[in-house]
Amino acid sequence: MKVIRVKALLGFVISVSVITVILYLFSGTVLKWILQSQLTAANGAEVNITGVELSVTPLQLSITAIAVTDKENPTENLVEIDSAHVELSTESLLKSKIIISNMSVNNIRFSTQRASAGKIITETAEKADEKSIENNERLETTSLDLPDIDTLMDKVGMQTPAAIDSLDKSTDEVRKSWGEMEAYLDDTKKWDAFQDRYKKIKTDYKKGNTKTKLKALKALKDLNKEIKKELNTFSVQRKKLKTEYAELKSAYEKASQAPDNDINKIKSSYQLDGGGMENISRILFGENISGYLMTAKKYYKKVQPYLESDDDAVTTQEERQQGRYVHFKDFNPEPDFLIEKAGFSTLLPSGEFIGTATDITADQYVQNKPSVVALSGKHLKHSKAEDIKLTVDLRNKKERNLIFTYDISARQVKDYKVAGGDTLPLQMKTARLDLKSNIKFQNKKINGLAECKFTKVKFSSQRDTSKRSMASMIASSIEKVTDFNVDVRATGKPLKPKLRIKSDIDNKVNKQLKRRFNQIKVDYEKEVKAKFQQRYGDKIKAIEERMASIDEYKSSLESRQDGLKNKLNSYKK
Amino acid sequence: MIANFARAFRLLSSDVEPYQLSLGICLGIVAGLSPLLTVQTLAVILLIIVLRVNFSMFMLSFGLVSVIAYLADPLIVLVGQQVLAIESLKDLFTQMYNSGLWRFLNFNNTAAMGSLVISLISILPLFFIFLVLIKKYRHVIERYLKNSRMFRWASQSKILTKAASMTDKVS
Repeated sequence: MKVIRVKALLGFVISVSVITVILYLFSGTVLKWILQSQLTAANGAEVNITGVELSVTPLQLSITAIAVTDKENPTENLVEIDSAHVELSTESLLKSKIIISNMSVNNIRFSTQRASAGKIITETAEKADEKSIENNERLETTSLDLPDIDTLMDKVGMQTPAAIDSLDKSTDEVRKSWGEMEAYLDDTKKWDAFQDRYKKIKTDYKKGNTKTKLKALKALKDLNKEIKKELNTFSVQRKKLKTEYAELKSAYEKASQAPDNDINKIKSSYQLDGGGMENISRILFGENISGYLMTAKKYYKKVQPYLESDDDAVTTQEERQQGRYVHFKDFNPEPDFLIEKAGFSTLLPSGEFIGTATDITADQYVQNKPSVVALSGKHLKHSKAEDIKLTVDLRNKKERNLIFTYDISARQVKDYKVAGGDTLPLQMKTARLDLKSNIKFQNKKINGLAECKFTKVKFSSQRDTSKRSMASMIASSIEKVTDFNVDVRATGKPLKPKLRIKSDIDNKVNKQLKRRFNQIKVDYEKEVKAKFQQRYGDKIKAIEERMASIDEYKSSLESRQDGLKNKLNSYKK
Repeated sequence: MIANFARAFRLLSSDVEPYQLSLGICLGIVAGLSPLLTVQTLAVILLIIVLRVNFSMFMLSFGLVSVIAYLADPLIVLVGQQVLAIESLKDLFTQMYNSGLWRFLNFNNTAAMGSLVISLISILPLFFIFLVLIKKYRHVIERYLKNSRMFRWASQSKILTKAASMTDKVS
């Protein structure tokens, strides 16, 4: 009785051996295909891998030439890596954990040209998002050009023309009304008739008999009655004259004040009070800082889910369809995925950077260690040293922290565009920069400080500094600055931080700037007034003349009225 | 299924050694009880290849026990849970828990442990029970059935033999 099947056993051993050999021989091709398809799906654009090698003892994976297509620009690679070497722990793999004990990534390069355009798998709305950030969240900078006065006068909405028109209309109405009054006073026949009647009464009374005298007295009484009536008319007319004159005077005063009001309005609408000059550093660095901020926001959005998620990342016990896993004390607790140590080198435009990454995992609580990525510049083109360190601390689910530090020592700045656009095209021709920055994301809030120290500075402005404008004036003042500090502090919500830019350049520039600014202010105001005079001077002069003639007219009417009044009163006796 | 039963009955009456049939049934029970990739699954696969085990009997018992085990799952899980909670074995289990191979074999799963324990306890007695039963069947029941009128009628019936051959072809 043969219990063991020798042939079957041999067949089994041979089959297993053949499968193992085939798997080992083709593992590279299979893994390459798996990695390429998985990475392409994750990236949304073609990812190419030239070769993958797998060795079993110890478990190692070597990948050569990885090219990740930039989905926004398929003719370029987002990242290109010469080679990557990964050492995995077999023991941990059996426990369904991917533990990379050592990893090295060599020669990482960014934005390299592709031999042929990479295939795009998915389009993203990221670009549109960035544009909206760009449009909405650019820092406001003050306009530094003095505006054209004519354009300004048309734009501001001037009171003067309306006031002059209104005064003209009132003057015409008054003249018309007073003309009627004058016509009344000019009625010589009427006034002569009063005189004739008075003379007749006087003669009748002196020479006549009693009857005639009585008749004369009656006639005098009638005359007095009529004189009283006329005097009443005078009084009404005088009142009207006074009221109309007062109204006209008020309109005149309004019209006289209008030019001053308009000039003040022009001044305040373009901040000729120098309010925009207070923070020169914001004008100088605001635009660049907002650019850096946008880049930071772009990266923050990518890590935001890890930093702001309140979900439990890990459950300690898994419930399965069949049975339950009982967990015992783990002598060496390990997260599901961990890169214990990684070394990488990258070639950036500024030079070669060597970096290390330790304890990269989303389950940091298992080992109670934060993930740290450190980059250090070597053989840099423009700096003595550059150090970047990123610490991601996700150990406490309620208090996830990210600390980013970036230190630059003795960076040679050359042709750095400080303030861009038409506002103030200013360049830092040469300078030495020392930077210390520390940005913390804590409890969904940002608290960052970047301290920049610029020495041996040489500014250059593309503006004609002799030209009298605020921008030229600032440029000319800044050109004299040789060293200064800039502190940028960002606080609040990471995607909408409050920025505070502080610099001693404000103090350095402000003194001479204020003096020059005051001179420009005086000149500009003079120019505004002259322009005003040119536009409305004749009209203003005309209304003054008209007002003077009105005054004259009024006095003549009053004196004539007074004369007639006296005359009429003399007829009463 | 009918074909499998028919084949099983034919095997019971064939020249196949009773221990091969009994071992097939027992290994089928062990594999059927296990819900995941466990030690016993690997052991069973290896034993089926190496030992002279009747594969048809293995498949039949595996199918039957899988259905029964599905219904008996709460009991299997309970057994596993009790075993994994034994204080005196805690150190052993902790050692095993820290070994990659044992973790890969899901030893700390209550269903896996329950089925392993039940298999270990029952495999030997079941092997001998089935061995005795098969021998008894061949000596007593088969002889009795062969002499019975119904068996003779059934074996001579054209319809039944055709149906049996058809089910054989289909399976």
